[in-house]
Amino acid sequence: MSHDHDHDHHHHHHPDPHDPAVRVEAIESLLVEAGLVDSARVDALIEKYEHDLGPLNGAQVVAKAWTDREYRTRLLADGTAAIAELGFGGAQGERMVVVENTDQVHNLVVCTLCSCYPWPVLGLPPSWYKSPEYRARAVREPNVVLSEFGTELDDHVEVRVWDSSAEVRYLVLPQQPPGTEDLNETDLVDLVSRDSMIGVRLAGAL
Amino acid sequence: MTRTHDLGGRPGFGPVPVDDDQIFHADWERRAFAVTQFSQAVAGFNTDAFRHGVEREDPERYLELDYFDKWIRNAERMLVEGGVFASDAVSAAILGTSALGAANRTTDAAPAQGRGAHRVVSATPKFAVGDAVQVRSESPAALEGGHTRLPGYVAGKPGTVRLINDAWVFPDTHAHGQGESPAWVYAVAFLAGDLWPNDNATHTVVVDLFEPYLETP
Amino acid sequence: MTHSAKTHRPLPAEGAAAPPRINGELVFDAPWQSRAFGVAAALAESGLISWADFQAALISQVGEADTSSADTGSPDGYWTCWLEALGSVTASAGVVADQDWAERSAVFANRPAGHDHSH
Repeated sequence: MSHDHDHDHHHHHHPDPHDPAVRVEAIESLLVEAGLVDSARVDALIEKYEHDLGPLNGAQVVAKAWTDREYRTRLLADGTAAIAELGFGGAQGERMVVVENTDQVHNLVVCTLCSCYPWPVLGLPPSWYKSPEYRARAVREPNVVLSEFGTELDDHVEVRVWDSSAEVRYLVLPQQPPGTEDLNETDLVDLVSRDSMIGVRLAGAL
Repeated sequence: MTRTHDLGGRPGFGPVPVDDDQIFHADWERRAFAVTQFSQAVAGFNTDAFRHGVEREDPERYLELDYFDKWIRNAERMLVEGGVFASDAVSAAILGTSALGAANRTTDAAPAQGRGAHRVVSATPKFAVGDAVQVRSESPAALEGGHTRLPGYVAGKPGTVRLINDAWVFPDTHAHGQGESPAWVYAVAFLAGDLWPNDNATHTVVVDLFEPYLETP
Repeated sequence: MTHSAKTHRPLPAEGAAAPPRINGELVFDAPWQSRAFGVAAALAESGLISWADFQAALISQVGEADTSSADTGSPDGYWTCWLEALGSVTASAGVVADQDWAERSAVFANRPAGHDHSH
């Protein structure tokens, strides 16, 4: 890992004790000494929240679609416009099409030719999405790829794979997990993972 | 001609690296992302030319290079072809042996005026939702080794139009500075059984294809 | 599968106490910011502080900072408020005394250069 602080060892400059970097280090060291915090746990939480915690813009779109029937209809009819209602849009999202998962159909999105991805709703793609393995196999053996993510579908479910080969960007509208019907929109956002909007996992799955 | 980047359906790949879910593994990748986009703008490459630049990576290295490695190499490629740097300028600059100097521009692919790629065309779409279509064996516009968005795994295959997805700048010409030639894009559905007859697969693959790629069966 | 959505979401999505994000990703401009986040999260996880108390302290810090026109929307401004909230909550919980914190900070500030090349 690279670090780029300038450290001129010939110049005896000390940071200010009020410098936040110094204060954070100090408070952490006090807590560790008192046995109240484990630095490894701190590392793990940083890692987790830096890369995991939403809410992705797309999660807000999905939660709204789950709770607002009319919004859902608009979203499926014109994804770009409905997503723009929430203030999202822009580069790599000139035209967004939302495809819904149902009991009969499960959707999965890939870009076999490069790494096209709906930035305005999902940010930048995870590395696996850009891997040769995913790009080659998602269109050819989607069920096996899904099982590699721990996702198993019933035999009768039709799997539909969308290859983003032009400028249209696809977003999967996952099914709302059973038993969550009474949750409000804010709580539902937490159940919508990035992976469920690409289609490799179901919403609510860990 | 095999195009290394055209990976859809290609056999021989192992499990998806499911746990590699970070966007950036290290700070240099973040900087590579930003630098490459900046280089694209400075070199005057449009999106299609950018993609074609990545595709022109050394085929022997394409699969093994990290994603952002390919991007940074493309940044250099674009800057040289865009006439911003001489071809040996980057390594020379790194070695400290010379200042960066301009060279002759070898690409014509200037960007569209920041308008995005969506276009309105007067021609009506040739195909309707539900129509059976046949994908050509290759793009009629693609130059030898040129850019195209016709994936090899659907070349020559039969499909059904599912959606008409508006008209867009045509990458096959635009990547090479030969004009926008906007064309209708269709989301065409293929049965996996037609794409890979020996696989015993029952899923469907939907691919966005430009009208010039398609013909009536 | 159900789980408590409340404990799953320690960070508010909107409002003054919401951290800067780009499409859901937290924005840290410097390692100390992520560290401040991680320490608070670890303490809340082990139950030593409550997120509710922390949120209240954070909102109060942001309010004070806003009146002094610090830019609490920037990562630096926000995470500084976060750090102060962490100090205030750990002091109330009797876990870290202000005095000890100030002293430890002074000690670290006076270390010779080159101490942190282990990272």
